[in-house]
Amino acid sequence: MTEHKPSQLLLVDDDTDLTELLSEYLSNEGYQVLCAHSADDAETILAGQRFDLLVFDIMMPGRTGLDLLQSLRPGLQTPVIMLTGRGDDIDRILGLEMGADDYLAKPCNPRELLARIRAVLRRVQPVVQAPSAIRLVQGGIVLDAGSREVMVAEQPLTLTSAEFNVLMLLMQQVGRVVSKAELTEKVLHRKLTAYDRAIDVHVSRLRQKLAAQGEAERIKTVRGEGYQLVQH
Amino acid sequence: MRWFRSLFWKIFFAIWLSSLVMLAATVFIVSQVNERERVQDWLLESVRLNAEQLVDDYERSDGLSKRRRYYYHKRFARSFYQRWREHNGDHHDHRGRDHDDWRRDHDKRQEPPRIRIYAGDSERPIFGGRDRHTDGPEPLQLTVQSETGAQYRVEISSRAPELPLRHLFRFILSYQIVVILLATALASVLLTGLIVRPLNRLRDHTRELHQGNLASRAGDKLSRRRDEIGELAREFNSMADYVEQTLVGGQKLLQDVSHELRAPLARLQVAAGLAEQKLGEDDRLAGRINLECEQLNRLIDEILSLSRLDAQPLDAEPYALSGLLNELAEDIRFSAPQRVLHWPGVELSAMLPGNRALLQRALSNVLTNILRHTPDEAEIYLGVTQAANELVVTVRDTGPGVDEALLPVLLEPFVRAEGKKSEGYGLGLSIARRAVERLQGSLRLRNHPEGGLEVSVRLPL
Repeated sequence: MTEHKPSQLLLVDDDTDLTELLSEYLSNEGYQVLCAHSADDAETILAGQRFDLLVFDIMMPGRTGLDLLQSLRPGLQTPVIMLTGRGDDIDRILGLEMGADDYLAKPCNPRELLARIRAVLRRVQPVVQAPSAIRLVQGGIVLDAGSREVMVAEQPLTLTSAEFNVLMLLMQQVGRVVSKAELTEKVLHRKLTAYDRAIDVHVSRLRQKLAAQGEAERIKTVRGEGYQLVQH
Repeated sequence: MRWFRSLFWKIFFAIWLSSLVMLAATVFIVSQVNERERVQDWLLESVRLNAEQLVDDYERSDGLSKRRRYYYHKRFARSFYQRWREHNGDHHDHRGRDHDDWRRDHDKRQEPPRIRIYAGDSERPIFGGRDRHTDGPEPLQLTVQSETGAQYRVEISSRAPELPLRHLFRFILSYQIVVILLATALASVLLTGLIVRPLNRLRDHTRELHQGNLASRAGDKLSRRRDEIGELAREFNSMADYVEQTLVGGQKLLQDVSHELRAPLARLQVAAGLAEQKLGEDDRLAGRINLECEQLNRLIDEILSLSRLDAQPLDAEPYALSGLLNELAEDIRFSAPQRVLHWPGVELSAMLPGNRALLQRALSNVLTNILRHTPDEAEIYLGVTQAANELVVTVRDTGPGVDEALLPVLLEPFVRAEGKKSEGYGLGLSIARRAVERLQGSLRLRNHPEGGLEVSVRLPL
């Protein structure tokens, strides 16, 4: 799994005991883990070092994880997993809307966190899809799968990795309905479960960004089935 | 409550009837006395003139012949009847009629008074028989003076002229009684209102409190009163304070405890994960610890979401119920494809106000409850009907239903259907009910006549 250099993670949580335990757990799984215990700490560390993945706890005294995420995006390209309080559906949605790549309710089984970390890392690591499909063009949208860049009407569009992957999947199968199950599996690297609306949030976020660049109503919802990129 | 059972009407009728009887009796007695005086007045008047003529006649002819006596008898009688008729409202001229005619034609019960006239203090009457009415009231006395200045005593003994019954009827139908009726009714409405209105207000506050508005208190107008109702209102307020403190405190405590449990639980889970790493993934003990942690997690989740419902905002945008139901049906088909779900997919134009997430939470809890507690063969019916001002969502299964005795308490927190090895904590349905109530709706359970549990959720439009 870690063929080359180990992935570097930054854990931001005010519970020092928990971060200690978690970093031990994750180190055992082959990651290099650094911990920060407040949003300000995290910013200082981030200013001097690059990470492959960030894990933010939302509930922190002082600035919350959401505040931190807001101040880092959109300049930050590193994927982020948010740890939310259980049952805080609103935090969850907010986190995704602000550009988190995934969320996880805390407390959780560390195996679950590990799975999410792996899934997100796999998602952002440049995957060579098919040599011919590196560059996808649909109307005014140009997606470069290699450099992970999207141009809309010749303007660069900043997307989170989840949004990017949604768009890529839809563009690869343009005109076809892509099911929510497939999207969840391929974009979030997990099985779709009942009441899981994460993929809907990513899609609606992507829609907004496209609409802001003049590509409104490109993604259609097909009730009970999934989403579809309308051909131009 | 039947209308006549209400305190308002009871007090109203009691006050009205008693004051009506009192007033009517007073008016009746006063008018009776009045009447009697008037009768006496005209009786004396009718006698005086004739008596004066009689004594003059007596003095002039030094005694009265038999003919003159008879003549005066007739005169007394005629003028009595004349006045009697006038008194009873007959003003026709009946002069020249014999008093026997009067007797024949009219009031046979009314006899003319017996008149006796005494000269000075003498015991022997100069006119009138010796016999007296012994059963009648005290005779009226009258003194007349003759032209010579001699004093004569006139004794009028009569049965008090009886007031005929029609007087009473006339009284009952008179405008006086109508005025009395209205006045007493008005007075009793005012009095009753004085008592019943504050009671009703207090009842409304109590009802509000019971329906979950813990902030409901009797207003200043009630609690500043210095009477018993004011006392009751103040007692109510302190009771409501106590109830609010207890409930909110309990809820807060539960929420705080649950919240505080999360941090150590999170550490425990990671520690268990570390143990698992050392012992190997298929270690029985580590697995067990993880399982128990998961249980605790779910319990905390549910407690927190129960206490969080009250903090949910309601001013979110209106939404279409059919969209929400379609989504829920989709979730069921996805998460339990083995189940038979009947959902006609009704399109409703009505938009529901309030918080969509709350209703979604409530309905998905109801559905999850069915999935969890009924066998896979049980079919699920999801339906919605629209009434004048509400929408009714019904969720029904064809499972074994619920013990009737358990139905009323099943919506309370931590109540579970016994005998089933269920994994829940008995919070799902109470969360559903709380969420629906937060939306001003109601959630009811019943065993469907054809078997299975039916949950109906009423939502005001």
